[in-house]
Amino acid sequence: MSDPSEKRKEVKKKLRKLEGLPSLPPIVQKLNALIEDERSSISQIAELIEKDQVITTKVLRLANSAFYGFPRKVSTVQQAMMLLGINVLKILIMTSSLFEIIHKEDIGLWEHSIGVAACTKIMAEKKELTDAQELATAGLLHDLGKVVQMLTFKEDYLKVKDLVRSGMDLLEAENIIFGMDHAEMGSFLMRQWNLPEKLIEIVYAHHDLSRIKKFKVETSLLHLADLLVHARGYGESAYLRIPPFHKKALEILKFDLTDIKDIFLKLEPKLYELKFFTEELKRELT
Amino acid sequence: MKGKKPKILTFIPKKSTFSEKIKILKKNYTLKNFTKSKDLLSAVLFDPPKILIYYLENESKLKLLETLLNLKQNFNLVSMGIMLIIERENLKSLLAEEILWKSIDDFLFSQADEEELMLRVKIGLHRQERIADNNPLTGLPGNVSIEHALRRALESNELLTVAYVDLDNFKAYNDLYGFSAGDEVIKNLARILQTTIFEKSPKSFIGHIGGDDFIFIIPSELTEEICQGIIKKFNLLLPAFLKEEDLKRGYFICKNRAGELCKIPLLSVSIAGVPIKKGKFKHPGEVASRAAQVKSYVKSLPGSNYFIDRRE
Repeated sequence: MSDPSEKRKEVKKKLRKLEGLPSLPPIVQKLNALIEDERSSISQIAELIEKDQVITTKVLRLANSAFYGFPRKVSTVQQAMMLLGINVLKILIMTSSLFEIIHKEDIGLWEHSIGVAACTKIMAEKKELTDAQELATAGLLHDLGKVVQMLTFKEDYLKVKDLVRSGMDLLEAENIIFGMDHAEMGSFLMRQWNLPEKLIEIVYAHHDLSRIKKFKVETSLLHLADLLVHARGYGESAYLRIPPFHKKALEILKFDLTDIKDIFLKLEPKLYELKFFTEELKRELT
Repeated sequence: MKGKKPKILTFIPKKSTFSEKIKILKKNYTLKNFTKSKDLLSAVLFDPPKILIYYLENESKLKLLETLLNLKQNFNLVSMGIMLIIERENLKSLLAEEILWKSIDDFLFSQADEEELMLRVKIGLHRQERIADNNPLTGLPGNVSIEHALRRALESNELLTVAYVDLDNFKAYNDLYGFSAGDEVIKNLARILQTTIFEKSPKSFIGHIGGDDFIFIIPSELTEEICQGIIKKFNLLLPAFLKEEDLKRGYFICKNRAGELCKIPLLSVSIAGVPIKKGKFKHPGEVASRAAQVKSYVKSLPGSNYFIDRRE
């Protein structure tokens, strides 16, 4: 196996050059149809975009690009769309490249992400935070690093999976193979693309609360949401069961068992609704 | 030439003779060629060049060019010059393409020699830098163009409305957040105006008077819808420009001239609309003074508002 610190440099170099990632074909088709339909509203379009990490990062990246003068401020798709407008959005979607081959377990990762986005939003609303939609974006993007591993480092990604199957902790395996974990990888890319600092930090620290600099409550929220969605068994990620949990998150959030039950109660119908959507997409993919 | 070489994107098929000729530009510029439309659009969006050289070898390449020209007009890409390369024998059939000649910055026959190419690009770059009237912050037309647009509107047979837009409490925001934050808000307000207005009415006029003052001219029947759209978008985006504490509190805390602390409401947007009918006003100044009356009323209302002058 190669030296992790060498590998780290190589990975960073490759990430700096990464122009974009492919999207799920059915989502792009649906989006095109929605945009062409004059009756559809901006929030309908935003809602669909928010189900795809790749298009979401694309929209945010363009809206936050220094060239157009809105650097690092725009953290929800809805806001981004206000600035870009439908015409530019159309062109942006035209530039999407599509997945050619997709495996069932890869869809699982994407399902996991929209599940976490939904859960983060429910929890943020419960805490009466003003930025629930922004945190949902963080939820959607939290495993962006894994998406990148899967799409641009396929061989290494499979090696990580093997190590995890043989009993190794995921983050440790990633550190051995990539010289960094998926949280760092995702946040590195997000910084590269000028996304807001808040999103970057939350994603960077979502497995390791000691990485938090400023956004304690927000990161703890995502940390817990990730656990709950795993525990509920919605979608798939590289974790075979549940990710390691920092109990400190519960203290920071001041959540007890009743709160968790309440979250599950609200989460369940939402997941049910999402399942309809994802099953339909899966059928279209195969 | 000091510092980095200016960036030029090209769209030239590999097999064409021009793709050899263009290499002469490498001396002074960073060149990047594209052959796929997707890649070109993506590059123009995410990292716009100073100049785009587009080889229009035949009519099948017109559609992509139109998309690019629209992008340039609607997305603050005025700073990107588009230079067209055409075949001399195709010129006749292209003459009817109005949109083309209205929006490109220059053209060159593919038969041109290297020296001519070099010179045209050089001149093109200088020209891009001195697009004088456009506001440097927003890329929107400035006062000379506004005056022209108003005169045209006064003589038009269409029912048009001239609307003046500005921000409330922008001075307080600038004082508290600094000028560069203030500039960002202005750029974003410009974007909101562009997306809202051009989506409903692509041929309308939007100008940047200066500071936080904007003007737009739209068909009267769209006034309500557009004003509501602008206010809605502005309110949705506002949280991105405010500090958490101001947002929670719901007002700014500032020092007034006497040095006492006082409460100032948060940023909001005011729009004053003046419908014009042919013959109602003779001079652009009359519209402005009517608008000033309406504006002072709108600004007396709390929050974001619009008001349309209904007087004859």
